[in-house]
Amino acid sequence: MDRQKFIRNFCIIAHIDHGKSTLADRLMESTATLTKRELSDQMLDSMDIERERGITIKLTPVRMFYEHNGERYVFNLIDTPGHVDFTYEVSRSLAACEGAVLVVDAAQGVEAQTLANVYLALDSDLEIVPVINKIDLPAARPDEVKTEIEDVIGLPADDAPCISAKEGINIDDVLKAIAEKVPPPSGDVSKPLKALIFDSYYDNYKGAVCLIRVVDGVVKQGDKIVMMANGKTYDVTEVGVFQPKPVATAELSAGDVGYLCASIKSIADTAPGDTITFAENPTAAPCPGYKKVKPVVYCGIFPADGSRYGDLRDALERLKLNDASLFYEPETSTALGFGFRCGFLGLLHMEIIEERLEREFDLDIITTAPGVVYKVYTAAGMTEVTNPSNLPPAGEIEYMEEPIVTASIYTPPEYIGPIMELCQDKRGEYINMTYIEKTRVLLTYTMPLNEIVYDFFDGLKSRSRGYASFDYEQAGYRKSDLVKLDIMLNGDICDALSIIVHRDKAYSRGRAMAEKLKDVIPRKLFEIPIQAAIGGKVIARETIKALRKDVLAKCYGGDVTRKKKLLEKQKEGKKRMRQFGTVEIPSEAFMSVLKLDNDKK
Amino acid sequence: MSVPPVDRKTYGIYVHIPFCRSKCKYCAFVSTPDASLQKRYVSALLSEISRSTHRGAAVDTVYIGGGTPSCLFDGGISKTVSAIRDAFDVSASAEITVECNPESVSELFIDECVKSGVNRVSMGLQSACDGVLRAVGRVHTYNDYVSAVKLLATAFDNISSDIILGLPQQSFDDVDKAVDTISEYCKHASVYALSVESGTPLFAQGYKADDDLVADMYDRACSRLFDNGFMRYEVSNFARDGNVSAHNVKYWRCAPYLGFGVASHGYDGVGTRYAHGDDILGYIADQTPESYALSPKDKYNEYIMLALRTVDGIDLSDYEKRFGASFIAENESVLRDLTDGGYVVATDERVKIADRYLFVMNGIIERLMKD
Repeated sequence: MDRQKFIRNFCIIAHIDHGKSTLADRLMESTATLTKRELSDQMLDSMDIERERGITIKLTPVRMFYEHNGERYVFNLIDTPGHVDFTYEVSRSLAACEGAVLVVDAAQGVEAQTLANVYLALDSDLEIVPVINKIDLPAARPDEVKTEIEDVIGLPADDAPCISAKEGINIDDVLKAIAEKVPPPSGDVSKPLKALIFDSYYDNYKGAVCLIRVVDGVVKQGDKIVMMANGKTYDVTEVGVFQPKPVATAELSAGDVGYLCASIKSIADTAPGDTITFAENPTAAPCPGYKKVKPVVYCGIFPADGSRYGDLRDALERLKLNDASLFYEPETSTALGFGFRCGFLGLLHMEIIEERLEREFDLDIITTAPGVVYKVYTAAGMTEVTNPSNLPPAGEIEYMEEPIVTASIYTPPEYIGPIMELCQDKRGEYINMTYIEKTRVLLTYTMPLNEIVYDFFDGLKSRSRGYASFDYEQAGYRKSDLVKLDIMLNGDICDALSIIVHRDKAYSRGRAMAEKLKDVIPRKLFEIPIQAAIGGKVIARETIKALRKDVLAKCYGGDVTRKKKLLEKQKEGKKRMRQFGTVEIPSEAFMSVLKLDNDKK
Repeated sequence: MSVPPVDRKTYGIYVHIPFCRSKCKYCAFVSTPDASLQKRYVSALLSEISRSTHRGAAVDTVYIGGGTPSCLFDGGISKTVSAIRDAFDVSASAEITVECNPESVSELFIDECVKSGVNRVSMGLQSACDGVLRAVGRVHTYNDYVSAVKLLATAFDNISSDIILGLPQQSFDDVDKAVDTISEYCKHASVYALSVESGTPLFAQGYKADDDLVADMYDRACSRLFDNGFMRYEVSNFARDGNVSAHNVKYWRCAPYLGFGVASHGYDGVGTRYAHGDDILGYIADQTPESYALSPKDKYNEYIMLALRTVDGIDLSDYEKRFGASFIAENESVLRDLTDGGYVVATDERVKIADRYLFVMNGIIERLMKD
């Protein structure tokens, strides 16, 4: 048991930009895990490797050594993502730790996301070590923030280290606090192997690599193991730790965090949350698994250039390899052709996937309006609908339910008015308002998720000049008067523009969409009516007037080629548009209706 | 009125004179108010003409454009025309046009043109409203134009003038007055829609013409020109008593033409074009243009783009002669679409854009162009 006495498994939780990564770098530097030079070199290298493999850095565990009171401690830092969308990943890494370092910005104080993750950590019985970062900032107010931590979170923060990760101030205080406050692991080395998989990635040479926390027992090369979820057995080929690059070790024993390879062909067989044990002397009970994550936000993703459908499919397949939470299935749209209906954990997750598709796979994509999972009740029972096109005819629907969230908004008091107005406008129901301190208020609302996925973030940002922070958690379903809003172009429904909205919102949304489309769809030689309709009943109408002039000026000095190139370019541009009947719709048209209110406010 | 067929062996000549008294705010052409370069420029020009690889070719149109050729130093025009006559076989009936602007039309200029055999002049009016003229930086008034055109009329029978539609502050009354004034003195009129090119002061001002207004002005100008006895033979060009510009027709019919001077272009009528650079000093130092061959696709796209600008459109037998294929057969389904929509009129002899769609021809031409 002595060995475990000096192991500290911990993670760092923080709001975005509060300095988590910088602190992680400092800890590695201070423990001489990496020299200052290596720090930049090595981290970059390993990032490249990770990029090649398509995994993200977010769950990389790092082993460090720290001398304290004449003892040598082993620190295992398991990094965590900060955003609510990745709550499930946070809970994965929390399950492998005994403690969490809570980083709070000395100027900004406790933020919504911090709170969500702190609660997760408390739920997992983790010891929380508060750290006040960025004390070098002129606006730093460490004492107030300490009080805030005590008042809002209920954690004693009196002796919290006050540091600047950026300037390297008081980093040793953090290490000391980890050694003194975080409890050691308490597994039993003599018991049969019980190891939790908290993440996995695919390596071309080693196969699926499991990132594990050994709870009980010892595992080494040659052991015959079994995955408790599916009963598949493997021979361990390698175990090791990250320093931060993978380094093979003789064994991993109770309390250790590291990796395990066993020539596993697919990461589908190394599901995070699963337990690894010995094939022939299994542990009595597996670790409590993770809740299976279900997408909450859906949208259609189509290649801007229809001929790149195959590339898009390959890209999604690649992303899915290391992001089990990404969901996709083929979808066919009359307006956009072949594409995919994709499901995400939240809006940030959606944005990240979209960005990766564009940046890493060089794809131009068109996304349709994000939607949520509606429960639709008909005589035949309940069905879940994620795509407006799959909604049964209005006559068959008895009623519908939509997902609800509890939204926590932190804001300086001067923006309370506009934010409450926004929440009301988004069909929010006021629950509570708490003054955390004189300059910060916590507003709690119950809101339909479909209002949040529309443009709530932008509205909040603009109404609070960026000062408000926001987080939400799911709060079940609620019966709601929802309708399908269709957009008809030249008389035909353009399926990719259909959305499900609350009846009270349908008219204004429909009108705004029609107005916007009128501006972005190029004029043709004939008039194009744009109609917004509910169940065939037109609620708004705009007309794209017929084009009157597109002729080019004279050929100057006999320069015919320039003019020809101009026309060829225009023709090329039109090819990139979506042909919908006789109307050409530019890609921007589909995107522009996603954010309607921004222009007006 | 139809555009006369062109002789494929006889060349047109375009000469660019890149000098103006002052540069208009919409102008993206190569032109400078710096008169100090004129002498050196003209000697470079004369040298290019005399050394032309096409020496001796038959020529039946000459067009001296700019810029403002009328602001050239005394003798500049006559030297240029003489050089052309020396180097080429210019027919006795050749159409020889010189461009001018009201502020630089003088008896001396007219005299020089007449003596050189110039038989057609084209003078910019652009607007009949002094406020508009000022707003776009033109250095003449409406009355200056009237005096100048009266002077030109004493010597020339064939005068052309231009109107630009969509200028800042322009009104329908202005368009009417400009059309009527031109109708009084000219047998040819060009009506262009303003295109605000990047790099011009107008562009820098962020000026944008309202396309719908321009279209209305165009319709207004057309009907007034028709009332005044003009016929439209190309989307922007109108003639009375058959005074079609023989030189411009060469462009639209893919006939051969030579270009001399900075920024001028030439075409062999078969498959090679050449272009001079845009830099006046560069031209003075070296007059060699850059040639480039047209691909079959280029030839096709240019041909239909230019032919469809004319009211007669594509001459199907000429097309077949050039391309060895039937235009109708090659474009059957698109043509059916376009004729069904009433955008294009197809007969056994020609395919043309319907009159009412001439001003929106680009989208139609694009559909017929090859990728």
